[in-house]
Amino acid sequence: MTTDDGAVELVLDRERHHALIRIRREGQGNRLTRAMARQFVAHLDTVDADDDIKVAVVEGAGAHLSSGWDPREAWEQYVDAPGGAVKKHPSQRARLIALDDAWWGRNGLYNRLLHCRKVTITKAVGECYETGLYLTLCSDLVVAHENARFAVPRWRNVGVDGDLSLLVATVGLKRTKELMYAGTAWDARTALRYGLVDGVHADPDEEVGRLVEMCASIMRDGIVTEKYAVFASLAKMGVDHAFAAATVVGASLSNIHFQPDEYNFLADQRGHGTAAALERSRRHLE
Amino acid sequence: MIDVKVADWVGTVQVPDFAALTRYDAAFAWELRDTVVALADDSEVKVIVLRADGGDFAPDVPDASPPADRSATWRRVFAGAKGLYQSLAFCKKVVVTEVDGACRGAGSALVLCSDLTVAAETSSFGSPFMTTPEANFVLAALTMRLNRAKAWAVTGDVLDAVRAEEVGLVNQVVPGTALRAEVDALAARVTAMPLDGVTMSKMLLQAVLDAHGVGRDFDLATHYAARRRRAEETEAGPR
Repeated sequence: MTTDDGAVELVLDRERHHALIRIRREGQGNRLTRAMARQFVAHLDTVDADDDIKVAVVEGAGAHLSSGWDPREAWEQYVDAPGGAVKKHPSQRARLIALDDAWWGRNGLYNRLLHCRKVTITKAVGECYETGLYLTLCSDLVVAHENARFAVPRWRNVGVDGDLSLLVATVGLKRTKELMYAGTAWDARTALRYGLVDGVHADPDEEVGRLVEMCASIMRDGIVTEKYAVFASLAKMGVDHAFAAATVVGASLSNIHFQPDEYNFLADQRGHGTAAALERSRRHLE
Repeated sequence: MIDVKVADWVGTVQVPDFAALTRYDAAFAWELRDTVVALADDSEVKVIVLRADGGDFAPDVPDASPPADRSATWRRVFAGAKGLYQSLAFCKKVVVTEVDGACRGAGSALVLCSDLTVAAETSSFGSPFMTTPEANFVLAALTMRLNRAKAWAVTGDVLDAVRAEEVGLVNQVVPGTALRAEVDALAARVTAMPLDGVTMSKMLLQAVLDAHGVGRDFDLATHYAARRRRAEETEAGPR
């Protein structure tokens, strides 16, 4: 895998009881591909299976946690799914399977991170867009750098295709709707005020280190017991239901019709390339 | 009484104020409900703005109370699945409330049912739960968090605009002179989303609201109204 393709690396420090999961695709704003999502999930499996690990830290290499999923795969992911290449346009089942497998399903990235049995700490730096936002929402603790920004610019292009239950539970209903409809980006201080992050720091590494040390001092049984109590609450909150709804609506939104004056990201990407389309579609966040 | 304008994907509904809803003016409420439903079905509309041009969004109505008989009309117009509040809460388009001055009773119920709220610095928000049994407490809890919603409902405290923003009841607080322009700018931002995307996003949200019991809480309005009536009769003593 080349650097441009990206990778997610895992570093285990059994002596200090912690793991580091680092997204490495600096040249592309750490935008995640499906292959990277699968790697991420495999690392979570390793972390969960290792009794010496109590805490997992999630971070992005370089300036951003993650500025989203890779839009070059926006169409490809459906074509590659079972039943996706049977006809000219991917079938509805292929779209559902693709979104479920990589992102929202039982073994998708978000569900898997949310249900990690160890304490998860995300270091939110720079652009925490789309995938970056959901890594934030699915973690137990979030330490933000002063320059962190949170948004889902893709929603402005197609509509809302992500889970809303965690967002509503974390920041409240009207603020969720602000992110959904108004094309808003929240800076780190706003995110702190809304409850999306637990702290804002000029040097987040220091705070992450402090939290890792603190969590690593907790007995293993205590951590896993508390995590299962959280899983029970998540089930009661209907998070599984909301993730399934996100899959269904996301698959439908991959098939929408645009009105004559509406911006079509995929058409822009085909005509002008991914970088130009991303720049144009995110200009409102500046 | 209800002025409607559609331009650039935005349907603007303008009235003198919304206090008629607190007074249980069924004709006004039904006309407003029909207007909202028509705009929701309009393929030229992505956003519905509720605006009062009389100074106060919904001034206080002393001694307001739901109809004594909790009639079929009251259920149809206010409390029922096809009534005003549920038409707003489960609307297929994005609903924005523009709040200036006093927002009391049904006005606050409208704010809870709307998606986005922009408020003038001088605005204030009374709890709707004392006067308006159709007000949805689950929406309040999801919006403000449970502890704050309980305190608002129990104490009946009036929240000033800054506090309303702090607790998440409103999205933006702006100077009164800038209110209309800010609402128009917000509505314009929402229209950047494709029409299909707006409707499907609202459907996704409805699934989450359903899972949290918002619909069930609307169903309980009849019971809340009956309880309120009994409390009033007890207060008044034997006739």
